[in-house]
Amino acid sequence: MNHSIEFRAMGCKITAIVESDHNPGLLQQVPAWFEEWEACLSRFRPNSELSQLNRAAGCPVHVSETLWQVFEVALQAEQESHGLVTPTVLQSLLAAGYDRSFEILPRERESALGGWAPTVGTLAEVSWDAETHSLCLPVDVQLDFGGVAKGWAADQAAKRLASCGAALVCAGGDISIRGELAAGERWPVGVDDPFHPGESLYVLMLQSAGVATSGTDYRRWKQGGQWNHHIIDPRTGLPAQTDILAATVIAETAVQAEVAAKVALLLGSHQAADWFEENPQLAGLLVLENGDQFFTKNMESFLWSAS
Amino acid sequence: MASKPQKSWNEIQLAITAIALTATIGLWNLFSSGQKQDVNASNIDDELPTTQEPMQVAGSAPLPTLMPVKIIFGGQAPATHSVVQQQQQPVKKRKAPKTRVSTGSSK
Repeated sequence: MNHSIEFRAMGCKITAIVESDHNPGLLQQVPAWFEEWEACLSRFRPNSELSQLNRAAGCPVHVSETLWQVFEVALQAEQESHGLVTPTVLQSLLAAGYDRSFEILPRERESALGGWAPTVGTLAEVSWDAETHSLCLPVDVQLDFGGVAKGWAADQAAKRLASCGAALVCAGGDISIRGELAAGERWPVGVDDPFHPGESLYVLMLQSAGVATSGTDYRRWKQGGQWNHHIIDPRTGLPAQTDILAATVIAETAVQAEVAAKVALLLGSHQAADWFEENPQLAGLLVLENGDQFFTKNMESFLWSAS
Repeated sequence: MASKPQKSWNEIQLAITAIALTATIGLWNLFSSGQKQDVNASNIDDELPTTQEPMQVAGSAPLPTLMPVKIIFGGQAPATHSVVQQQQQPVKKRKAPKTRVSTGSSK
């Protein structure tokens, strides 16, 4: 029997489901976990630990276990993506107009960007001490963990819930699945159709995996008559120019899937195809602006089929 | 003096034809009365070839309607064949499993 809980956190809808004979009390603790993580990792909360770290540029700051863990994940993501996924894009996001939670962000703003884009730094510029868990940001670098934080949170929650039974946690489309369902069944997960909001393009059948989608189709706004979105290309410091509307990736964990989906989106369809070949552990689905769809071959084994 | 109107040759021909036709029909019916029969739908069903394998009618496909045939002039009833076209069994399409979560950027 499945037990579930739904709530909002980190600017998105969170769903947690556990397969268990009895309603596990642990499920009721999930909102508190997310609140704790958001209080630490949100750039939209002035008093969050991340905001305090961003204001303390130039000074070493001892950080919590949560912030340290996410920093390590972000560091690994930056290295594996060759700098395409980095938390150092905050200045660019602010310059692009994404200066408040998307739920309260005006969808149309007067001032134009004027082509100005801040230089995006790298985590290599950050000093850290792994023993004392302290970080020191350079003056011109601020962090925004963004999707990495959501993916990490989904993975953490699913890992904790898995002690009660097979568990699925969805944090705004970043989905982490842990444990085996009874009778070897798999979890059905819809892939949103970017052209028809509210409809599923495909259904994936998953077990013990992470899946995430990165897209330019939703978190977008108009500034100075020009459409902007929240996926910053660190190579330009500007919202990414890509022919991909939405990239969905299945990986071992939600955070790995989130990072991989963003890399694919930033690379564009041609380079993404090569990149997937170099990373056969990933399964990918790309929906292009022109409506074309591309799958990696191994995606077939996850797609639900009517026949 | 006006001549007495003569019966036209055409009228005579018509009368002879009518008499001949009536006689032919009458005699035919008289001598073939043993074979004369009415054929209705149930008779036809009985006459369906029995060597054929019974056909499966898929779904609720209606059986073809057999029109009753009345033999007016006697003789053998024309053979009727019932051809039942077997419909292809409709492919059962599995319903997609209900999804409670989905991945997308619109969350």
